[in-house]
Parts: sequence; structure tokens; C-alpha cells
Amino acid sequence: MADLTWLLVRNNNSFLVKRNGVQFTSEPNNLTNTNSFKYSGLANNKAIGIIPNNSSPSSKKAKGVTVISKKTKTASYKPVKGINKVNLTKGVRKSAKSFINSYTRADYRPDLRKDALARISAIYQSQKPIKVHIRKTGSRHTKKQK
Amino acid sequence: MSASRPQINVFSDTGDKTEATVVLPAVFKAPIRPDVVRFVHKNISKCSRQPYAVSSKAGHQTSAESWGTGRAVARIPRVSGGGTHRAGQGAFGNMCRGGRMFSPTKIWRKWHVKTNLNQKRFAAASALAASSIPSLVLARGHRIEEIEEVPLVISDSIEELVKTKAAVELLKKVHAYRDVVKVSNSRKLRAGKGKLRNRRHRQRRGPLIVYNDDRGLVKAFRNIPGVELVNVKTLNLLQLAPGGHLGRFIIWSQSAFSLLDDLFGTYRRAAKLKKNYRLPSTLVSNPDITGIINSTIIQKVLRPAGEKHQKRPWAQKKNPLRNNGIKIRLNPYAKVLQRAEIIRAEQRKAGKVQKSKIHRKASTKVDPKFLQILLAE
Repeated sequence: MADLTWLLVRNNNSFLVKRNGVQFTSEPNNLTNTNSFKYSGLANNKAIGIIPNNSSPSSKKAKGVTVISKKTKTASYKPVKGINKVNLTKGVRKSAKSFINSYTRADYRPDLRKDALARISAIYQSQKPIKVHIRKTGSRHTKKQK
Repeated sequence: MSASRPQINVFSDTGDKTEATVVLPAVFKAPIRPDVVRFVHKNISKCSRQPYAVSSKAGHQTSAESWGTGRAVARIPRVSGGGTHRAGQGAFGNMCRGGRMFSPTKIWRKWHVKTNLNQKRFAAASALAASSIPSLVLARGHRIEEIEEVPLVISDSIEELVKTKAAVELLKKVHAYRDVVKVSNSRKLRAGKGKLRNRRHRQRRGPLIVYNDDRGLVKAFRNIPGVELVNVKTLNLLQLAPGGHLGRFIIWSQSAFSLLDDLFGTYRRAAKLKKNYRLPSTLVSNPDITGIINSTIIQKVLRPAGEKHQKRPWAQKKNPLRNNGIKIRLNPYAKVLQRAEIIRAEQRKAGKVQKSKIHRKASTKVDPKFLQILLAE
């Protein structure tokens, strides 16, 4: 079914973003947001999505990532039940390791390993508190900046 | 694709229980053909057009005549008289200010297009099949991530709803209300003159509710933004695939859903409620092409893959007429010829072979006896 779905979806769907000569897609479960069969979250029976973990909205700090994957054993016509969500919150390295162990090594889309790890670490990077560099004032510093 | 058809749950109007199960009607296994749907949609949507045309008099309400030659101006008809700026200006022609347009539009243009009945039915079946695949419904833009099942079937008590409040409650219970929220958020003022022509706003399409017997539900649902209602017996492609795009989110009442096998028939028997109709057959019975390629049945009979060999695209091109190695690679017999040439040269040198004699052409003289016979009277 995946091949057929891809043919139906590739040229026309509501998630396509065509702008400034480049094409992206905003569909869920697409690791690189590129419109290709490999990364398509709509077409593939097995697909992985990684998003920032917002499972506890009470704590303001978003921490870690949520890994979403499509279940293969549940019937494809059940949208809610066909999706598996796992939160990985223990830091980049542990999250990456746990991702590899439970997906790549379990033979679930091993081809997506690199992109998934890139996305995990990018999300962790974005969650770091922003360091505020206080601009030093005083004649010495302002002179240098000129 | 007369593949196995799954059991579809019928949800109660509270959304949490399954009241019964229905076998998925065969229409949902019909071939999904976006090209057919687009074509039929285009033609059907042409059938509700209003004729328009410019005024038949436009550009011809003047007594202009050409000045002829000799006045050093173009021979286009010119407005006669004087005392106004209009006098002397060109008229009638499509290149003239105030002239008529080129090939003025007429109200008797062919506005409607006939579509073959079988094509219309094919398109409807195709659109229904697409509506049962979550990926395609998602790709059309419907918010169905939290829906239990696609196609979504609800017990017949949905047809008895009378109050919109209850209808909204039901949509919330089955998690279909997100799609309605999407519609309300999308409501925008229309760009252009349409605003003045009773098309003030534009908005997305929400779920399509298909019922069998209206016992109040039409009035209950019709004021919810984006929601459309239709009787199963009058399914319309314009609603099943709006804009010609496959994958409308459809909510069925149970009796409407189970009527589909009578309406479209199955792959074993013809449709009951249509005359002479059978579902379109599929070209490919199993759409999982990669699955077929990777199956043991196919892989068993294939030769094992050879080593990966990549041509070096950056290598310099060699001329095979000058470069012997390349020449022999292209024409292995060249080596044999060269070898024979060398051997012959050596033999000649050793005096073993004389230079070959010049072969004379065979005589073309005609035998006189034959001539005699030929020319004999």
C-alpha cells in the first residue's frame, strides 16, 4: 500500500510547502521535512517522527524528545491506535542510545538512524537555556567594539 | 483488489462503545484513480455554471465609418461628426478604445459537459475508496489523527439527533470535532468581487455525514461549520472529492454504510440499486510492490546481485582509433587481425609467401553459340 499511497500523495497534499524554489513538507513523522518517499510519514508503513517532548505542560521547561512511530501490527485504518509514542528525556547521549537500541537495532527503519539522531540532538540543542551575554559597558569595551 | 475486507466497528453515539461490526463494503477496495476523479470532477462541476457574456451591443453603438484611403490615417472605422473628442476616433475594432472585444462572449457557449455514467460511478467508487485510507484523508487536510477508525461508522441513533448541541457533542465524542475547529479557524474574507456576490467568506471543508434516513439529523448538523450532509443514495462526487482532491473525511450512519454493497455491488455480484453496474476491476491486485519484489518467491528465482561496479566518470576519454587498448576492449577481433597481419609480414620477409597475384576479372564475353540460340528466329 505504501507505494500506491506515495504515488497519490507525492504531488499534491495539504502538507506541501513550496516556497522560494524549494519544496518541503510539514507532515507528521517526517524526520527531514523533505518530500521524498524515504522520509514520507504519510506513505510509509513504518515511519519515525521526533518532536520536542511537551508531555508535562505544567513544567514550563520542555525537556527531551518524543519519538513517534507507526505500528505495523495494528490495522492501518486505525489512526489513534496505530501510533506509538515514547518520551526520551535523559539527555542527548542516553536518548540517542536508547533510540538506536529500540529502533535501529530492532530493525525498525535502520536507514533513518542518522537523520533521527541529528534531529534528537538538534532538539536538545534548542532546549538549552539561552546564555545571555551581558554587554560590558565602560569606555574600554565600547571603544573596542567600534 | 478483492482482498480480505476487515470488520469495521460501529460506534455508539457516545463514541466509546462499539455496538456492532460491519464488513467493509467492497467499494472501498475499488481502484483509486486520481486522474479519473479529477477528470470527472472537472466535467461535473461545469454543469452548474451560470452563463455570462458581454452585452451584444457593446462597442457597436456608434455610426462610425471608415474614412477610406487618402487621409493619411488608418482605414479603421471612425466616429463621424464633430464637436466632441469622440469624433474622429477609431471604433468597432478590438484594438480601439471603446470598440468591441475580440470574439465577444455569447451566452450560448457550451456551458455543460456530459460525463459518461460509468465514469461518474467509477469516480465515486474511487473517491469512496480513498476516503477509507487515513494517509489520504490526512493528506487532504482533515484532522483525523484522533479518530478511532477510518471509515468512521456510527450507529443509526445519529440519524435521530434533532439538536445541534447534541450533534456537536457527538462529534466531540468521536474526536471528529477537531476537523470542525479547523474549519472555523479557516474562515476568511474572500478576495475579490465574490464578496459582493453572496460568497462573502471562504472556508475549508469539514466532515461529510452520510445518512440513510433523515430523522432530524440534517437540521441538527447543518449549522455546524464545514459539515455537509448527504443521503447515501444521492452521493455526489463534488462532495466526495471536493476540488477533485481525493480523501474526504466521511462519517457514516450504520444503515448508510451497510447499504453501500447494494448501491455499488461487490466483486461477486452486480449492484442492486444501479442498473447494470459492477465495480471497476483493479489492474494490480496487490499494491505492495516492494513487498512483492522482496518476497522469497521472487528473490528465489533471481540471479544473485553482482559486485557493485561504478564507472569512473572523471576518467579521460580515449580515442579507440589511436589507443589500441581501448580499441581491443571495444572490438576484441581487432587483436586477431593485428596478429594475423604481423605473422603475414614475417612470412613475407622470410620469402615464404609471394605477393599475391592480381586477380583479373572473369571475362564477360558471350559464348557465340549462346548468341546464336538467343537470336535465332
